[in-house]
Amino acid sequence: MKIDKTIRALTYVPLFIGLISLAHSLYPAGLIFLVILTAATYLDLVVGKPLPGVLLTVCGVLGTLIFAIIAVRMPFEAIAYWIMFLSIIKMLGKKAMRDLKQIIALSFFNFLDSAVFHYSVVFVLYLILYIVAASIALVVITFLDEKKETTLKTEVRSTLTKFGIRFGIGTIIMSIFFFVFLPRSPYVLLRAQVYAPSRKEGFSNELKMGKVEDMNLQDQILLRIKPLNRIKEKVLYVRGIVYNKYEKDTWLRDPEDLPGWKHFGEIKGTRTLRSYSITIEPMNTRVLYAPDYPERIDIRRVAFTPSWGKVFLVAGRNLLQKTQYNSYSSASPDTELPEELDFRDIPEVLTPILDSLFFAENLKGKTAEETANNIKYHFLRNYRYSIEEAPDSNWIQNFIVKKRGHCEYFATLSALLLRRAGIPSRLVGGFLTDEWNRFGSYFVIRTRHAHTWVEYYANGEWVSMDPTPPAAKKGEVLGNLREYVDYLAYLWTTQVLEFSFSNQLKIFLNLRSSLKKLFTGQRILILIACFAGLLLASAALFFIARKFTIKENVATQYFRKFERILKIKGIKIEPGMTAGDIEQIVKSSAAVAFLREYLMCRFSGQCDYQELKRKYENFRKSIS
Amino acid sequence: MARVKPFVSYVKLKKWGRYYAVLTLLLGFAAVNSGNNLLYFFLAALLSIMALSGFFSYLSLKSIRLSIIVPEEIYAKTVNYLKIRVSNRNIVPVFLIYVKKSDKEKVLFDMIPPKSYRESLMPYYFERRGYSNVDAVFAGTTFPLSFTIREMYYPLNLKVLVFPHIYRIRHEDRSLYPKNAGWGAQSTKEGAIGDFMGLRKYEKHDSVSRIYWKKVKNKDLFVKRFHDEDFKEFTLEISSRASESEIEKVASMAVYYLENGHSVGLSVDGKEELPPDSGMKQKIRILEKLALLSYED
Repeated sequence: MKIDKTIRALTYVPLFIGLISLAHSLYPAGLIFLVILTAATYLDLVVGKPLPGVLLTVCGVLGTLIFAIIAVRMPFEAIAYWIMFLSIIKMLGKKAMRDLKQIIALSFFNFLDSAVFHYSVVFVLYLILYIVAASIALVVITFLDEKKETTLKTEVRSTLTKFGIRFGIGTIIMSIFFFVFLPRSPYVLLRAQVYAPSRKEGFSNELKMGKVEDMNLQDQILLRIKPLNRIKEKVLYVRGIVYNKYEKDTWLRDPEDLPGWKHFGEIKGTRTLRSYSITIEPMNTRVLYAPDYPERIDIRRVAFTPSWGKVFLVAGRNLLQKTQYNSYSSASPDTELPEELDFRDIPEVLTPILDSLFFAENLKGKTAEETANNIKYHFLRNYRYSIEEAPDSNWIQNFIVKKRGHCEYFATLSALLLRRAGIPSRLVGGFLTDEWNRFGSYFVIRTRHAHTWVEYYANGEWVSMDPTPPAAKKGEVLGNLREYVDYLAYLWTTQVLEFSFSNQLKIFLNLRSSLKKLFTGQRILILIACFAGLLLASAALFFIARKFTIKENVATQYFRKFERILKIKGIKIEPGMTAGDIEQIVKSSAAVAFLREYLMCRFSGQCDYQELKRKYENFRKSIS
Repeated sequence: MARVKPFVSYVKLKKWGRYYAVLTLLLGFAAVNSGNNLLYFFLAALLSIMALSGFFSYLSLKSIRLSIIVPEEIYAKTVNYLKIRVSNRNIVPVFLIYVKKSDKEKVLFDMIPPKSYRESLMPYYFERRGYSNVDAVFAGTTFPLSFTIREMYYPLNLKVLVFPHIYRIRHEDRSLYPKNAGWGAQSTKEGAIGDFMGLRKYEKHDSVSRIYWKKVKNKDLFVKRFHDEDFKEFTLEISSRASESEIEKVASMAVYYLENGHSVGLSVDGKEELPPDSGMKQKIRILEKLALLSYED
């Protein structure tokens, strides 16, 4: 027996949500499957012509074979596409009650799969919608399956839908509780399969002129850095990677690491470490970023190496997943000057232009600091920041002539000038931000905050120098809203995605100490009084609400509409009139039919609301 | 009417429930092994659904009250119908409540609105005559998600008297047991045909066609009285050691004759236990005697 269209449509809702969530995370390929599924749904609900089972079985087997082949190279994507494919196949076939159950199971797998690919805060929205939709569908199917029926009366459907919504909301609330208290282990056998296809890129061992410029043109969030101490800087220099070699318009970190290299030198100045909680968005990077000058990093599940130049490099493959870690920074610059590396080397072809600049601008000082300051202030006074200068092989000449450029030009030329003056120097690639989120109290680091600056070696330490003039600030549209949305995303990452065993421990410890405080002295009495008061207030509210919410019977609602129409036509129904009286006044067969159905509904206890609705519509049409 | 209170409740997993349990376990394993918090979230949702589903089904069963109305006549080896009334005391509707003795003896209530009740008939089968216990019924539900069946055991301990099985008797069986099957010889029952018994005054319920017009005097109307030729009055004879099939035959005959308006008595081992009489009360009396004939508890 064919299942009612409305019931089928109810079952397809969770499938659609699951598939949209998966298609979103596998955009743009996922979108194709979504379009096909929409077409299949149209065929099923509107055209009503299911495809033959044999054809679908053949398609299913062939498709499975194709996806099995794809799985050899891309197992996770292949599984996701296969599940979407099966959903479409199922949608095209005939639908018995068993098939509807299978469709809900498929919707679950679609959604579950999207949890592996998805890391965005939008996932919460999908999750809420999915749980509610799946609850309604399951409740309705259970009801029909048990009654061995294929259709539902409007009244029962609406009651079941309400129940399903309540059930779904209850599930979401309870899930939060379970999520927090489910036993976690600090040790996992496998690393989380985190596949977030991302076009975001951080710094690598190679920095070609123009790369930072490209990054400056984008606006994706890469990092969020929350100072854990009460000190708040106005701007934050986030150290990424340090380059030592410049050749063919490219800065290189060569070698990446120095085996046997001694870790950082003595921390000078203040010994107080500033700590930061850093969340890194999925991006292809080699580096663990930390505010200057990083001394230590605490990170779970990611192996890393502290390398020369106070740089922390990910061991093995590049970091791709969303990660949270803590960094501890000091005010002490790096003191190590690795002997194996040459920080004075410059390409010979650049010597004349560097010399002429030195001569023309009189940049040479008596000490290294003086020379560095001359160079820095020369740029700050005479040059301006511009991002519209495309790099070419003759970029230095253009830069000197036009006197405008961006951080790569300023930093590179400064480093080369310092080297020409015999001062060891190097380029630091990282981020410079002043974007502060007031809601979450953290710095936001976007792609456009990518920055390079210089470090030169003088008096036994690497002194930082930023010769880039400040860029003009742009006003932001919907700044507050944007900030708040970003804060939600931050919460999602820190409180959900990175929720761990240590967070659980903290909750239990806080709970214990709070309970201890509560159950001391007279506080317990106050607590009991408050609780009793709250209970009484809730009870009073409940009764008041119940008193004022008088639910009108559906049949009565139709009767009211009927009454209104008659009133417009000049026929007034007085209180106390019987159905017979009304029949005599109205004298319309459609009105009489409606009235009979209404009486049946209202007083017999057996009501077909669809029939009532139909008769009301007939009456409305007849009278208009 | 017997109002009963639930005793214990228990949960059984259905086929889809087993799949669900396996899936939850697998997901738990995957979450623990990967440390992926979104999988943990899914696991939390699955556990919540399981817990809430259990809670709702328990709440549904706790908020109902069962009333059982046993019919006056219950026959062995026949489907009898117990009237079941399920009342919902809760302020929310309850769905898919079934009451059953076994899988075949089951009645389903699809929806019971808040603060109201629904009634239905539940088939109930008794194997043998005599006193029988309706030990218990089970009220259960698969709502809301059909993954589990939650049932509550309702102890009844109702003692009912089950009458012998009644079947349609054959023509040749009719002459086997009557002891004094006189064709209305001792009958005083009035019929419309047969031997003339005299006149009596016309009464309101008499058919107009029976008025004896020749005897109309001073506006008084009379009708003729006759013996009812089809009417029989007899006593059914049965031995106290009669077999079950003999008891069933006698009971069936008694019911047959009594329902056709005859007067039937019962004699056991030659001793007249019940003098011939007609009507429903006599039927019950005979059936009670036969139900307890050589009955051993």
